[in-house]
Amino acid sequence: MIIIKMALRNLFSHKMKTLIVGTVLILGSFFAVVGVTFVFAISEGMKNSLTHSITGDLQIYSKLAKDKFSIFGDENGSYPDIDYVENFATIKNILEKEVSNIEAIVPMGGNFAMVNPGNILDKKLEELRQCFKEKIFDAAKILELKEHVHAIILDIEAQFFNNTASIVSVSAEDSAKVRADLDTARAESFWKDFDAKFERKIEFLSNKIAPLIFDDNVLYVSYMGTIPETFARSFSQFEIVKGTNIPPGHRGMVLTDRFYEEEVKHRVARRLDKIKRSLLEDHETIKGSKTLQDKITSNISQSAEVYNQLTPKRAEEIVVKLQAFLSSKESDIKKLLEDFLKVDDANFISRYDFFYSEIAPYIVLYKVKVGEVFPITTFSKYGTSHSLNIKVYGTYRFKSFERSPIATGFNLIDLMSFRDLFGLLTPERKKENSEMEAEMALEDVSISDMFKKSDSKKESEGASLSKLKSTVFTSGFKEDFASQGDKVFSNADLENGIFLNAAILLKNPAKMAATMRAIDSVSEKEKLNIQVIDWKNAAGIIGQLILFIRVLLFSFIGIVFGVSIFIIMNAFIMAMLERYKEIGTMRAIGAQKQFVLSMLFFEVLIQSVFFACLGILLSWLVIVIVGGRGIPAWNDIATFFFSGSRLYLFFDWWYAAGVLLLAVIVSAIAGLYPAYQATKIPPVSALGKTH
Amino acid sequence: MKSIALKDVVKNYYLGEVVVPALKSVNLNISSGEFTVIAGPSGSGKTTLLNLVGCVDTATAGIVSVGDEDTAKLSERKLTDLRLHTIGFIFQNFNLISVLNVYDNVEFPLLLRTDISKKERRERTLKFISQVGLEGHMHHRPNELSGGQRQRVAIARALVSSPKIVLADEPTANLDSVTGQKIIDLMKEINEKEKTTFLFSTHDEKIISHARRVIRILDGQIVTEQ
Ligand SMILES: Nc1ncnc2c1ncn2[C@@H]1O[C@H](COP(=O)(O)OP(=O)(O)OP(=O)(O)O)[C@@H](O)[C@H]1O
Ligand SMILES: [Mg+2]
Repeated sequence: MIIIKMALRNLFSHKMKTLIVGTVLILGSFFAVVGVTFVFAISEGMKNSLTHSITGDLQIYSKLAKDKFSIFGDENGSYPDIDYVENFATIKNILEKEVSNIEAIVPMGGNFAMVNPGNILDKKLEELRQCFKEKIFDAAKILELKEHVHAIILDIEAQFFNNTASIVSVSAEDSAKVRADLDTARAESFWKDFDAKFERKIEFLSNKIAPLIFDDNVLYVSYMGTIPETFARSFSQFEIVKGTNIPPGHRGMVLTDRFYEEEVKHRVARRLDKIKRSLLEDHETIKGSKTLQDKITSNISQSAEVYNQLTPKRAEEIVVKLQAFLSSKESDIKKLLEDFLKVDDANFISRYDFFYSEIAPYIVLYKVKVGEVFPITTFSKYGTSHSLNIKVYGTYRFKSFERSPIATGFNLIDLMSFRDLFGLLTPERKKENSEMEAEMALEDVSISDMFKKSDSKKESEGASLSKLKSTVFTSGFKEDFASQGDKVFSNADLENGIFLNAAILLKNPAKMAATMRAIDSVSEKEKLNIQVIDWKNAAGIIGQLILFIRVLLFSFIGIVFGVSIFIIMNAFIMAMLERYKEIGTMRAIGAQKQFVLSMLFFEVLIQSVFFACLGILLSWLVIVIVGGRGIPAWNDIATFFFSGSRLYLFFDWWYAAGVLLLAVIVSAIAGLYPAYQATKIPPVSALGKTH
Repeated sequence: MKSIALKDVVKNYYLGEVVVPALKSVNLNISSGEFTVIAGPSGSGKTTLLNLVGCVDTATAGIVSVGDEDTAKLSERKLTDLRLHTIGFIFQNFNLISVLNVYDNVEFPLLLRTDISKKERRERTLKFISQVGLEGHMHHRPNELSGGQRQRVAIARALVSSPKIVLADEPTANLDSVTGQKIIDLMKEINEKEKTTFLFSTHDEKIISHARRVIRILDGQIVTEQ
C-alpha cells in the first residue's frame, strides 16, 4: 500500500525526526524490557529465597492475633503478637485431609532470648568441675586450670572497683561483702583443700566471684521453635553447616551459621575473618579501606580479650612464639599482642594463619560451642521468665543466600522447648504468676522492666545488664534450671501442643489463591479459628519490598514513556511543518482529511513498531549475553534478592510484547496531535510561490 | 457548454485590520475544451483566481461555478471530491511527493479514488507517463530529475484521472524558456487530443503570444480579453 511505502520512505527522509524518535523508542523499550526482566527476576529470586527457606507459600496463624503477622518481626524487630493456635496436630490433620494442594505444614513460633554462656571464670570453673568428674584424674590439667582461675581472681579486685563499680553503684555494705569474698577466694587456706571439697569451692567461686567480672558476654538470640526434622525436610534451602540437626525427639538448638560466626565467635577472630574476606574476595586493601583500618584498631584495643583467656602457662608459651614470629624482644604479652594485631596488607595472611594455629586453640573461640549445653532465658509476654539448659547441636544456613544477613535471626529450637519458654498461661501458672508479681512489686524490680531495658541492649550495656545477668545467674543456671536436656519425647508430643504460626508448602504454588480460599473455608467450617496469608504478606516489610520495587519500576517506565511522548510529539510536529506544502498538495489534488490523518498515523505506527522492535532486540541480546552469565551479587544482601550469588535473567516474549504494545500506544498518543494538526493544513497552501 | 463560470466574484484577504482586495468583481466564462491563459503582472490576482476555480479557496462574494456546480454550496468533503474527480493541478514548484518515484507520483491521485481498478490504474499511469515522454525515468525520484522533467511528471499526475479541467499556476516560471515552451506545447497537444479544458496563468509574454485565448488581469480586475 502506498501509505506504507510513504511511511517507510519518510522514515529515511526526515533524518532528524527519525533519529530523535528512534533513539527515544529504542532506549525506552530497551530499558523497559531489561528493567521488567531484572525486577521480575529479583521478585522470583526473593520468592525463591523466602518460600524455600522460611515463609513457605502460605502462613497460617490465629484469628485472634493482635498484630499483623510478619515473620521477620515488626518494626522493632520483635516477633509480632499473634496469639497462638491451640493444637498443631488437629490443624494439620484437618487441613491435610481437606485441602489437597498442601504438601507440608511446618509449625513455627518466634521468640527472643538471652543466652549467658558465662564469663571466662564461669567457663574455667565449669571445665574444672568436668575434670574432677572425669574417671581418669588429669592432675596436670587440673593444676593448670586452677592456676588460671587463681590468676583471674587476682585480677578481679582492681577490675571490679575501677570499672564495674563505677557503672553500677555499689553500696559500702556491698563493697565490704565483695572484699570479704575476694579475701576468702585469695586465701591460701581456700586453695589448700580445694581438690577435696571441689564442689563447694567451685560453687562459691561461681556464685560469689564470677558475677563480679564485668563483660558483655550475653548473647541476644532470636529463635524459632519448630519440628527440626520437618523443617529440614520441607525447606529445600536448609543445609547443616557444622554439627548435626537436632535429633528427633531431643531438645536442642541449631544456630544459623552466620549468627554463629558473627555473634558467637570471639570478637578478635571474627574481625580477622572479615578482614580476610574483604582482602581475598572483595579485593580491598587495608591501606585503601577505612573500615578495615577501624577493625584493626578495635582489635588492638580489645587485645585483652585474647590474653585474659590464656592460662598463665599458655601465655608464657605464646610470648616465646610471638617473640620469634615478630622478631621482638618484648616480654609483655599485652604489648606483644597489640603489636601482633597491628596487621597490614603485607603481613596479614601470615598473621592470620599464626593466630588460628597458635593462639585460637587456647582461647574461647566461640562463646557457645557446637555440642555444648548452655542456659537460655526468655521473658514471656505474660511477664514471666523461663529458663532452660539447651544443647547446641549444630549450625545451618539457607543454601543460596548463606551470606545474607536477612536470615541470620532464625536460630531453630525444638518446639517442646519453645513451648516451655513461651510460658503459656495455664490457670495454675496464672495464679503463681500473680503471687510472684506481688513479691516483685515489693522488691521494686519487675521483670518486664528489665526486659524493656535489655531491649535497648547496645546503648545501656551498663547497669541493667549486669543486674540482669546476676539475676539470671543466681536464679537460674545453678539451681533452678530443669535438667530436661536428655528427656526424649515422641512425635505426638511435638505435634500435640500449641504453635504460633505455621508455614504451608504447596504442591502447586500457582494455585495459591484458590488454596487460600480453601483453607479459609475449612477454617470456617471446622472452627479452626485460623487465618491464612501468602508469603509476600508473611515476609512483612521484605515482602512489601517486592511491591515497592515493582512500583518503582513501573513509575520509571511510566516516566520514561511519559517524557517520550513529549519528545516524540515535538519531533512529529517538526516533521509535519517540514512537509507542510506536500500535505497541502495532497489535499489540493483531492486527498481527504481522513487520508492525511491515517497516513501520518500509520507512519507513527510503523516507526514505533520498528524502533521498539530494535530496542527489544537489543534488550534480548543483552539479556541473553549478560543475563545468561549471571549478574554477580554485589553484597551479602543482594544474594538474598538474587536467591544465589548470581542473578540469571531470562528473556520473556510476553514482557517484550507488552513493551511493544506500550511503545505503540505511546507513539500513537504522541502522533495523534501532530496528525490532527496536519489535517488542518489548507489545500490552498499548495499553490502560489514558495515561501 | 460552460466549464467554468465566475459571476461578480470578489476576493478580499484580511491581514489583521487591513483589507487586501485581490479580486474585484470578476466575471468570466470558460467553455469546455478551451485553452486559456491568464496574464498579468505580479500581484495582479492570477493565483487568487486559480485558487477559487480550483476550489481550494472560497470567494468573498459572487458565484464560482465549476462544471455547473456552485462551489459555495458544497461541503469541504464534496469540494475535495470535486478536486479529485474534475480538476487537475499543475504547480509552479511542481509539488511532487519527494519520497515517491515518478510512477508512484503519477499514480497517486488514482489511489485516492475507489472507483478505479488496479489494472486500469496501471494502464492509465503508464499511458500518461509515456505521453509526457518519461517511460525511461519511471523509477526516478523527483530530486533525480530536471525541472522540465519534474513538470512533465506533474502534468501526467494532473491528467491521470482524466479531469475535465486542468489548472496550472505559472507552470513555466521555474523553467528556462526553451523547456517552458516545450511544456506549453505538450499541454496544448493534450488539450487538443483529450479535449481537456486548460486554464493557466503566466506573465511570460512569449508564451502569451502562443495562446488562443488570453485574459489580461490587473489589480484584481479583467482588463482585456483577446
Ligand atoms: N494569503 C494572502 N494574504 C493576504 N494577501 C494576499 C494573500 N495572497 C495574495 N494576497 C494579495 O493578493 C493580491 C493578489 O495576489 P496573487 O498571489 O493572486 O497575485 P499573482 O498575480 O499570483 O502574483 P504573482 O505573479 O506574484 O504570483 C496581492 O496583492 C497579494 O499581495
Ligand atoms: Mg501567483
